[in-house]
Amino acid sequence: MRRLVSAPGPLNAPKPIRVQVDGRGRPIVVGGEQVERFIHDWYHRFGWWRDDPSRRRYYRVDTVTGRHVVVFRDMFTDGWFSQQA
Amino acid sequence: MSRGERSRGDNGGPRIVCVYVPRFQLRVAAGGSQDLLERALAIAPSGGGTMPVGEVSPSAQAQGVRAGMALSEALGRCRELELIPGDPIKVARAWDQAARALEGIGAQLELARPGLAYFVADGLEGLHGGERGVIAAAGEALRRPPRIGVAPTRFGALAAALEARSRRARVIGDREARRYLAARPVSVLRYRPETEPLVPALEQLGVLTLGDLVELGAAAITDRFGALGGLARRLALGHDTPLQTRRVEDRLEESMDLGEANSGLLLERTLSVLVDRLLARPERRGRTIRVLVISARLVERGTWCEEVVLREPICDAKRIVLALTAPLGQLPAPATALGLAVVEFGPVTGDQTSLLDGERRARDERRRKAVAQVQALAGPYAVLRALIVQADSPLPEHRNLLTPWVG
Repeated sequence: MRRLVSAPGPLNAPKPIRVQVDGRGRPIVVGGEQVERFIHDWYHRFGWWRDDPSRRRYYRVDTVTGRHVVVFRDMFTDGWFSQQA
Repeated sequence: MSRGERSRGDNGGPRIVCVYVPRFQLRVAAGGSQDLLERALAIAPSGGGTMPVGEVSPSAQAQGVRAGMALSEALGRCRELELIPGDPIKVARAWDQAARALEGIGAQLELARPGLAYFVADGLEGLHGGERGVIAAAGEALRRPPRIGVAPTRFGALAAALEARSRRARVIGDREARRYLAARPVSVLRYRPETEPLVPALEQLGVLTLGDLVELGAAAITDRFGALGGLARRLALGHDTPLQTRRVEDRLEESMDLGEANSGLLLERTLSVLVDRLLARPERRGRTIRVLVISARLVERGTWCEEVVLREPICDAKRIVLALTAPLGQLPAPATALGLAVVEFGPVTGDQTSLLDGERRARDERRRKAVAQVQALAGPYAVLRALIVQADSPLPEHRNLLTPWVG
């Protein structure tokens, strides 16, 4: 039986994704798909009072296959993640 | 006949073993460090009323500080008194671990409080080679050698354990029990929650030993102290109730980090997720829940926990959450994590009563059966529901949680 969801936990948790960036740090290839259209980006800083603050730069893009994707770069780990924002 | 009444003492009564680890809570809260215990330490008050301090170290005790003393008085008596935050969660875990170790030698325990337990030696003597063997096995079961007392009653065993040294048990024979108790100080009554309030009054009246208490006579004691006085006298005379041993069963526990979700409504939602998770655990095997412990790790150092006894054993998530909401309001500080554990189960569930009837109830029943079938096939996490935890959180992953669907 195919499971649609894996286990209890946060819905819409960030998933690691492979991203290539241009000289300005903006994604040009997301999950192996070329970015066709850059829509917009925003910066997100949260939880500075906690042990695990978050600083993320989100990008909303369309890929050549027509997918609408939201990815972010974690400013602390420099890792890329996809997430529906 | 209860287990506590079976025995083979001199008089055919039971032989009760008391296992006592002094300052158990302080030792756990201080991380077990011996040098910490050599300083003047006390567990900080957890708030409320006169702000009484918790267990105190020998050094603090030598300067007149006692557990339960108001913080202002404790600091007045001992200027260098250091307060460390209590850690009831860690204490409960450490004590549960110790209790399981004792149960490993075959003992059926009555757990009076962290650091104090009783069991009946009868029945274990054949296993461990007599009473001495039982005592040795109990001593070896715990990481730190406890003080062990053995007597025909719970109270006698307690008095003996308080007098015992850590590696030498105090054993009181059936015939000498009453004489032995008569010579003990009335302060032994402090270790029984029912009789604890009597001790200061008795000491002020010059009743210093249990023998003095007995000599006052039943009528005089009951006249002055009521039913509690009567109980204290019966204990001093060597009468006690049978042990109430705990059942050894699975401990179900769930916990969750709260992130920024540490205010009222959000705590309740997190609690709701924890209840769903507990109810979905296959180890529950359809049993209802009677007693839970709700716990929290606090923003400042320390933890908090509260035992909640449900009015009747239930497995209805909404009613359980409702029962847990009131204790949650007593959190002394913002929490960073919330935990929930089942301490005692009730009988296997039947149909729970409902005011709703007719079509809706039938639909709910069909859905419940469908979910149960899917869960039976694919596991408890096969059907989940999305719960809004913090809709306005800037982090998308903090807004909703998937939690097991409980019919």
